[in-house]
Amino acid sequence: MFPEILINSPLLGLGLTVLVYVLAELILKQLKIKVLPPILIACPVIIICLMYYPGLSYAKYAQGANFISFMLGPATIALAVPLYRNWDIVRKYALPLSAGILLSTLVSLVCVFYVGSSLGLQEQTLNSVMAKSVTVPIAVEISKMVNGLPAITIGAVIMSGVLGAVTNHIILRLLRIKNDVACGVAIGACSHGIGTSACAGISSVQLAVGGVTMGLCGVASTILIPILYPILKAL
Amino acid sequence: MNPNSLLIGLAILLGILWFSTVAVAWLQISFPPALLGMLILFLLLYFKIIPLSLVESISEVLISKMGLLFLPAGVSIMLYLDILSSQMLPFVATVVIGNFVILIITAKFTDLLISQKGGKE
Repeated sequence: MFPEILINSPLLGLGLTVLVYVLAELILKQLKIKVLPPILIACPVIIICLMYYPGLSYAKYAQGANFISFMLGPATIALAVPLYRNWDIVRKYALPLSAGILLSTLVSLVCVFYVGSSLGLQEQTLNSVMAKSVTVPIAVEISKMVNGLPAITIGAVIMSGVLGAVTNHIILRLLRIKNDVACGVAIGACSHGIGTSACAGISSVQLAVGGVTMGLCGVASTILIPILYPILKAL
Repeated sequence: MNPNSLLIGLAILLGILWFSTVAVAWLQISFPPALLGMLILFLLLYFKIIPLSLVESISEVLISKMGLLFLPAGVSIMLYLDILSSQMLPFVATVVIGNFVILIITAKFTDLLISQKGGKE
């Protein structure tokens, strides 16, 4: 399946990533599963290939896969487009949005820090989960800034998103919160894009507010986490 | 979504990333270049220096297929499986508890803020 000529070519990483991702998308589509992102299937499949096929390794895979990772930069910049499109919403709900975003960023910081350290997470893992509520590309950047491991951050962020997509609306209903703006801010702040996409069939206001919150929370976290997290650690 | 607008859009995004990478290095600040790029693109759109149509298609592609882009970084978790497996339970618990606390506090607070503001009007 993986002849030598492939193993030493960037085609291995590029091809494997795209092929497996597209297959995973197809499988989820066939099974009509909407809450799970394809990466949940694709990631273990590629890891198993790399671990068990003789001659393959992460380093060989990365030669080609790094081209794909590089595109996260342009993709992060592209997040400005939905933010610009929904700017009317930011204007309209400026106060609850900015207050909600600021509060959620602080709550996330304090809560993850105290829960994580009291449950005995090692320092590097704790560093990696600090940005767990921010959209993946931004979380990865924050993780690097606070000496975390981006791979573990991605795991935490995806878990956060999928958990949110499944449970957010149930909890909000139990709390009897009906205001779509409040719901959108909470969902975007706690489970970023994956959680927000679960609002699609429920409320367009929630979807837009969640999307805007996700982007702005990313900005707030990038500024606040690297400043406040070392302070919390020093206390 | 035509090939031209995709390529122009990509050129714009890469140009912005180029600029923001140089700017961050030059200013010697610790800020992710891509996030600075996002703020720059927002301002370019907001002040109508770049029309939305130029970056619309490429952004849609990149954002809707973001999962593909972070798949390689996700795969690199195989290098840290031993670190993670020894603390799987606290790791999962931190994420789960964190999620619930953030959601509940943010929702309650924002809801209260909106209803109070509504009461005054």
